[in-house]
Amino acid sequence: MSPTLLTLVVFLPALGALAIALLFGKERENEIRWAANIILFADFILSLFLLRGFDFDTTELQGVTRMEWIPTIGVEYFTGIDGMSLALILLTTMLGTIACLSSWTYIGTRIKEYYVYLMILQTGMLGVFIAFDFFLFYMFWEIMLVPMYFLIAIWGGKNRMYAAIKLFLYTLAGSVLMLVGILALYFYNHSVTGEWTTNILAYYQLSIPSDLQWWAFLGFFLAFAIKVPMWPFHTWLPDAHVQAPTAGSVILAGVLLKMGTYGFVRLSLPILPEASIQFAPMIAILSIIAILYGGLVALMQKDWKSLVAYSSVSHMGFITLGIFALNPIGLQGAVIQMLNHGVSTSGLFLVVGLMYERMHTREIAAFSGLGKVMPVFATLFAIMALSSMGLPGLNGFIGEFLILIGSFEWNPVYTYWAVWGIVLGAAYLLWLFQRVMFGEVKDDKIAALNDLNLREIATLVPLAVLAVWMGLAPNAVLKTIEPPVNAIIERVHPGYFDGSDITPPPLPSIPGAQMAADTELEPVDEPLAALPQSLPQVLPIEG
Amino acid sequence: MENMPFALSDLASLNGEITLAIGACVVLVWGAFAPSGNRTGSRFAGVTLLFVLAAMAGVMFGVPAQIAAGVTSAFSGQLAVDGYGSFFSALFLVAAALAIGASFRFLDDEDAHAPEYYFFMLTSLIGMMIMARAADLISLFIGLELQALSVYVLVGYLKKDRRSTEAGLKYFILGGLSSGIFIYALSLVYAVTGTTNLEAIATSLAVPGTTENPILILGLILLVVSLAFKVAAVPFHMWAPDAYSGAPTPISLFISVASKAAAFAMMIRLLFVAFGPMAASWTALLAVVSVATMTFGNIAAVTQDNVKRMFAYSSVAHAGYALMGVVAGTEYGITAAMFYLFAYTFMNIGAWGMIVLFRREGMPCDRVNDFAGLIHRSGWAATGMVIFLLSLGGIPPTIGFLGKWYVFGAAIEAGYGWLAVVGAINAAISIFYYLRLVKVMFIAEVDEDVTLVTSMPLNVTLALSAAVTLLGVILATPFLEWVQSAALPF
Repeated sequence: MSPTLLTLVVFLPALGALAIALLFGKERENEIRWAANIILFADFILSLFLLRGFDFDTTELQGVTRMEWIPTIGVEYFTGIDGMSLALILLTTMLGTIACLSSWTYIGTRIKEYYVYLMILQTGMLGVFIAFDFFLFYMFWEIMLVPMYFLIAIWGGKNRMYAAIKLFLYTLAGSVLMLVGILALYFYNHSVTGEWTTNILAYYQLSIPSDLQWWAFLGFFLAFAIKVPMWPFHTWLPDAHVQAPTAGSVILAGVLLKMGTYGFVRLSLPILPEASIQFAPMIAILSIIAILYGGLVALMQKDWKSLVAYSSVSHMGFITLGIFALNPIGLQGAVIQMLNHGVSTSGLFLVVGLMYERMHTREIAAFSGLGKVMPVFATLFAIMALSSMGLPGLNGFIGEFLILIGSFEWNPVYTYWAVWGIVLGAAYLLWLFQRVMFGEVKDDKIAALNDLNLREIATLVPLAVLAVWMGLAPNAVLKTIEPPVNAIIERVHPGYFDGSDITPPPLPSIPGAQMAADTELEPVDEPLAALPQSLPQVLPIEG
Repeated sequence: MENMPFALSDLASLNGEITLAIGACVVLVWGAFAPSGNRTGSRFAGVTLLFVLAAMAGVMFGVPAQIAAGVTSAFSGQLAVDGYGSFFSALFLVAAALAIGASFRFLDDEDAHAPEYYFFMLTSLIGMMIMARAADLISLFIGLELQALSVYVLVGYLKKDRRSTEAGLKYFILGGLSSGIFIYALSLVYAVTGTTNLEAIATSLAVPGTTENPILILGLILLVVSLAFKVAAVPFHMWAPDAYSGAPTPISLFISVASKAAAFAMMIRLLFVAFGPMAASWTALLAVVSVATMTFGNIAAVTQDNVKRMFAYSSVAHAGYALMGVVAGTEYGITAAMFYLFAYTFMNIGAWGMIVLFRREGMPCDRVNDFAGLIHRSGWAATGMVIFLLSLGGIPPTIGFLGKWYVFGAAIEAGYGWLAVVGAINAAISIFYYLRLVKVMFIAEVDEDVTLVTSMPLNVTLALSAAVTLLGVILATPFLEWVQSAALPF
């Protein structure tokens, strides 16, 4: 898998945004729509090529680019992916395409700006998953905020200004504290190794004193917990979701929330293992509160979209619980649940958006009997709802099941309480389905509704297919994320795998460090390095 | 030292200042003979710009040649010849060049007389450059006063505008007061140490027991107070919002950047070189000032409805961030403060330059609502402003982020982790009012009264500032290396 391809996948949307901004006039709305959709779809297709030649058995980074950037402070442009990043990149490119497609008629004003922001956002999100340099990581992390702010503030609902600024301020407050944490580690690393570096992998090898770990963890925790969002930092989320346009909600729920959990897995656990263990019980309790609170509040919602938003809080609680169970099953469950949540909750937000576009209301009480009028819509909604509530055979089940096993291994009490979240999930989703889909067709407005058109079906079907596929054949995904997960658990609990038949792989090493050793041996290695190139030429002749 | 004869090479180290002085004379004499009126402002602006660029060449090429030849000071130790001085000189000259770009059309539109305006701009530049290079209390004070007196006139330059004259007077009275405190502090220091040379002061402070002298301690406290006045740090910042919001906008642009940077240049050299042995006292003092400055500056900015006042308070807050580097008291801290000022120069000039764009029948349109719907009138202007605002807020990928990275880092490295946390929280607060302007520009409806008054030089100023602000991080290496080598002398 080539580094060029990876770079292209990440930066294509931003280049596309630049091209649209410079080449198209405001009034050429349809051309802009086509261009944006084509670019993001092409990006999705390109990202599928990342699978080709990807080695699923290693934890080492693949497709690595390492360039000096700001050597005076040890910053480099260092990107690459492992199994977890790959999975999240594929999720992001897919949801980006779907979000773009779903905006075709939903967004009616300031088309050009809209697509430019959407595409910059896409690059920001993808960048977070490939950055292995703190500086670069932080840049991508913050860049996302600006277009998301505009998406909500310009195309959002009535209360959009409040929601947009709340989102921005909450997230920013967390991020800057993370920045302080990063800097604290940066100077600690310098004091120990004498080297200025922001290379994340270099920090995997540090053993940091407990008190610094504690403080740095706190900084990281605030940034990630706000992004996830964990209870009690969740209050921005319902506002943002309810006010955001459909595409904004899809991206927000599908990808942006994953940034927080990704940060926990990629940074907090391997860099600050000791503090992770210390904080785990507290985080588990917050997660359980989120699971139950999110579920109960969702049950009471009168607004369709805020119901889905609160269900997000509940589901994200499962993910953080799985991560801080700090065992392979829980962590695998958490990572796969990140993907599942991206698929099913995005699907649910699409469903709400489709309905809102038709009826201009999200009041659950305003709907009934939709199932009779819109059978296709009803089917797809049913699949998404069932997947979200964790029906066996669909994707949500796999993640929640693994997380519950993982947390049971850690502490059955946590599992006991978390299980109620699943019951609540079934309750609020089925009740929602019952209220809007069944019953009599109330008025002419509903009777006159058109079922989904081809474009709308195209936005939902891929998600439904994925939900089924990941539910029936989760191994394909589990296999991808298993090596990195095992490596992280070994780092947090050294010796965890002793006595089992699993040999945990090492955490990724810094690419290039190996190369440096090679260059010292250059005179010896050179003839060997030339050998593989000559072999294929020789062999066919002999054959 | 006294025996050292006046050498011609001493003059060579002043080539930048001398160029500016010649320029000032040319502008003044030409102004006396040129016919007034008829929108002649741009001619004087052009000539001034030429002299500023020539001085820039002198600083960038002349001084390094002298340093390479082994010269470290000139005029019997009155002036230092070092990279630190040339870094700041170059920064002032860049700020002046950009400010001239913003003034080209402004003076004609205001119907103001151009020659003296540029004359005082040039003399204030000379003062700033001497402040950055002075290695002796006497030359330091001369530089400071030359700068300050020129700037007082510039702030009150629009004599028909009540706000401007009021601002000029206020600035003059408070600035005079702080200069008085400053020179009193210097006299106390001289009383104890018996010398005005910065390095000699440090030598005499190193004698055990000297630093406990109450007269010296009083001197140091008063010194910090007057320096806080000059950088507009809380609680001595009261003049800044009035001066910045009342002054002609290009002058607000110029002094909020260049005068502030000059005060910092003077402060860093004075504290690190002369008062290095007493670092423990002044870092503790400045840490408190830094927290108060950024917190108060940001909170006050939140409540402003006038854009110029908002940016005035924002620039108070930025002095607080830059102070974090000084508080650190380390070489890294100096680098951080210097890079922060470098970054701040471009983003702040850009933001103030945008205000110059807005005018309505001789009135500067500086209410927040005047920015309403800017995106619909000029996508370029709105995008540029967003870049400047995000940079001021420290959001990547702008240069302001790298500045924050440096100052927070400096605080953490020196063991002031709590200060970095306060700074981080402040960065989040500041976003609140920067975003308010973004909101108005992108979401509110157009207020049709306001027209954008652009001109080529102003556009160049804005474009250059935007380019550095946006690309400063991606192409940071040469800048950082420059700053780092310039911070070395200490």
